[in-house]
Amino acid sequence: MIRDLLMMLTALVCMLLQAPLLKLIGLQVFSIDIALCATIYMASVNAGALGLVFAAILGLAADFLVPGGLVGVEMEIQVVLFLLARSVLARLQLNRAVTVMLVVAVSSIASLLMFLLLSVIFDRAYEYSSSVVLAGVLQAIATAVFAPLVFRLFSLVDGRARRKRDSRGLIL
Amino acid sequence: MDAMLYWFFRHRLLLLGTLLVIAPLLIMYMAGSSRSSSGFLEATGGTMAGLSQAGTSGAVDAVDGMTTGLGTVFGMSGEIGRLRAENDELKGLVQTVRELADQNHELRQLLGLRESREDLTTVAAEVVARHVGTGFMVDRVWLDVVDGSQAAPAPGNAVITKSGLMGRITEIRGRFADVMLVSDYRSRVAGQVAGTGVIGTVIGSGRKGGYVARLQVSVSDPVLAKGAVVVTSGHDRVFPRGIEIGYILNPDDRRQSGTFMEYDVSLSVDPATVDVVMIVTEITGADALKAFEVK
Repeated sequence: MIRDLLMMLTALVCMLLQAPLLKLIGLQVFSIDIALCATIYMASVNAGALGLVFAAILGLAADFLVPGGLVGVEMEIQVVLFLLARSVLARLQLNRAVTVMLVVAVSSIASLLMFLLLSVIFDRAYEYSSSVVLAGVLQAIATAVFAPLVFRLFSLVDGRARRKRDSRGLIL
Repeated sequence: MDAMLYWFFRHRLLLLGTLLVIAPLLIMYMAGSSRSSSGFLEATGGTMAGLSQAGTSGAVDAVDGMTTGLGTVFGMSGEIGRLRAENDELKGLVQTVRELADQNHELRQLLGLRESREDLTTVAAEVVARHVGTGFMVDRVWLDVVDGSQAAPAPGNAVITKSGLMGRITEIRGRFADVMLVSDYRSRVAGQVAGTGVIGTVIGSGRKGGYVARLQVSVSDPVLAKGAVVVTSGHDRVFPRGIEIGYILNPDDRRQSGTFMEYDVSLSVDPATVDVVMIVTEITGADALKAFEVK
């Protein structure tokens, strides 16, 4: 419980810090889908009901934190991704940077497709544009590239929560 | 009873998963049917998110200022180091004074804008969150200074700065409002090229790098000059007339799209540099124009 809560809070802080930090360094074009990374991480370390609830809460928080989006889209995406990831990651070990990048890249693309599908169905204000797809692909690439670092951060926090460092380390 | 509880416990992930898959669908259905008006969940969540974003932005700015000063103090030793640290500290102070002067200048210009456009009723708002990463170009502003005697900001209201048009409010969430920028791919603004009588529509490009839009005019219109100023025409009854939108970029790059000719427009307002905006809540004389509407 404490582990999952701490993980969720870490992800929330990262999500909040991301925009002002990117503005500070002048890299507003890029962004990382922290919520997606946290969901995949939680699905890999705790695939239980609590992990699912925290993934849903993270998705809802992402819905509110991103101006312009339809509320509920990210929540749905995170819940579905968690359920998919828990079944896939039961057979796959996320102990290498390349594996993490690959899993996150595939999840990001799945997330983008779900976003487009849900927007078409539920968002009356939505209009298809190649700029949305392009932005989604750019975000997927940035998320995949920085995912090992984000996972490392989560791993550190997770290790602290368990009052010991994981000697294996989730990545590298 | 025990057997039922046991069954629930055993299948808790399945039940919870089903519930958590259905719940967002219902939220989306309700939120999607009326994007402009916010329900309790959106208002509460939006307010909490806005407050968190305002707090985080403030904290990041404060830490940035502190680390600049501390870095110089701890990085030096001895008398030279002390003098260098003092020098850097003074430079930091000068920088702070410059920033305050810039802010003061920005506020004075906004005040000037307010006084020069007496036909507009405006309220000020502070930008607390900017768009990052997603395809939407929507910023969030804090409606902190709403005067009770004035009309409250509402979806559809134009958002302007001292430099020109920034966008329009799409959603009000508690004391925060989401502003769709002119550069958003969904944005449409009725515009006209100043001094030419050419009217058209400014369409957001959605491009992340640089704030650019497209001006769509009739193919029969004369070729527009480079640097020609595009302002709002007021024909859409959303944006007040005469607000600067941007400038025509290279006319040689114009292209035909059906029966229209499209020009690239460099937008006057760079939202990344804007901290305070004005929301146009009322346009004096707009009601009088309704009498001339063709029904």
